[in-house]
Amino acid sequence: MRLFWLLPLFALLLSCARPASNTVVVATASSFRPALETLAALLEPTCDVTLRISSGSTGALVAQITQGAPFDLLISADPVLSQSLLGLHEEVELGAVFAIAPMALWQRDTANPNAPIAIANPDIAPFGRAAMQVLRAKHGDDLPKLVRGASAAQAFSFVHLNVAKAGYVPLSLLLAADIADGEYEVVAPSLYTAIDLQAVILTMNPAHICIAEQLANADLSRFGYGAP
Amino acid sequence: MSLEILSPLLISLQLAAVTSVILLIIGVPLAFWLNQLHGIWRAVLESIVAVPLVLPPTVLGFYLLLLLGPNGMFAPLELVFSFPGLVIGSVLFSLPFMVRPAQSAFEGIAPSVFEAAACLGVGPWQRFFLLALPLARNGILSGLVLSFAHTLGEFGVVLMVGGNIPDQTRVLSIAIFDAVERADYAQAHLLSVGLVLFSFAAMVLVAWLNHRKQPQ
Repeated sequence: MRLFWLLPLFALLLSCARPASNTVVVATASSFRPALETLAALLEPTCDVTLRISSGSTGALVAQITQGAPFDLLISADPVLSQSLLGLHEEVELGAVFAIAPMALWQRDTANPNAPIAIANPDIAPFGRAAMQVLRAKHGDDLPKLVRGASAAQAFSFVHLNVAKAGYVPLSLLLAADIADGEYEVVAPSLYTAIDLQAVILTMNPAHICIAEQLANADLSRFGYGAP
Repeated sequence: MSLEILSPLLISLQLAAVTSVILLIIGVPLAFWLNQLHGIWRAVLESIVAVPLVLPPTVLGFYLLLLLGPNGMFAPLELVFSFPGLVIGSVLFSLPFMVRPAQSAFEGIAPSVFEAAACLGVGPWQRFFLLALPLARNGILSGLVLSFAHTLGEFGVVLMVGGNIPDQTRVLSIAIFDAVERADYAQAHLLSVGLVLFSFAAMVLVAWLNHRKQPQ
């Protein structure tokens, strides 16, 4: 029984791990995460912050923010969804669109030909919605077998892990993972509604404005993004 | 070790430790009290405690989100997407893992022990602290290890009320999901192998506790 008294002590000891004060928690659309992680090396010294990054589908992140998630900034891939955050509180400020995210069809020869095609969940992920537009135009109601990831990044990992034979995925993730360019083709932008990236400031602070401005001015073409 | 791995590990250990301590404080007396009950009330109360065993974590997560979220009853406490919110979810979700082993341990004590103590004038509180707790020690320790391990392995509730926030609610299981999503399989492997080894060690400990001779 004596051992039990060690547990509260143990709990107390562990509670010492707390984030630093100038930490900025950024929620980003999963397709932008590798770019943001690379850009962090530039953003952190320029804006004097430490970035902590959380990623998911824009729809899931917006829902979490509406439920009170403590994010400071959102990199949204759907300006229509970010609009809904304006009513949340007065500090919310929508930035201009700073990049356009191309979508690609990634096909793997190594996968089982009967395997499904991976897309992001169209209800919450902009890349999923775009994929559905392309699939509907191509197949009508007679859709191929699909598997839905919770975000564009999960759809990407389904193809990467060879459980899906193909997938509609962000070009940015293909470049970040060094996928050979013979394996995928960029989908013609005319086939789907453009996926626009936008920074949303959720808590007003000079450092958060600094990050949004730096993103707006950064050259993102090396990450597979187009200029707005 | 990088912060990417250390931070989820610390949060998971912290969550499991806090949850186990809370479960020890509320779960053990609850188990003892349930054993004193009879008939339909015991069945109903035991079922309430046991329901997280069969309920999808998303159900618990969804209702916690409604209760703790901005429009919920507990909105002013700002518990959603925070560490204390995770603790509440974990305590509810791991409650049967503490109560069940403790209940069987208390059941294993011969009623004559308590009757003899009562005859000698030992009060109910002393009977609980001086007789029941030491005699049920192995079962309570099993429950503690199971609660700790189960909280470390929790995913669904944390995904719904935690929200994958680095340094705050990104626990091990979420970090693995996150690593797979980022195609960072090396990190996913490292964390997963660690959890497999830990879980196995915890089960060995529980089996050993269960077979160890009860103190007399």
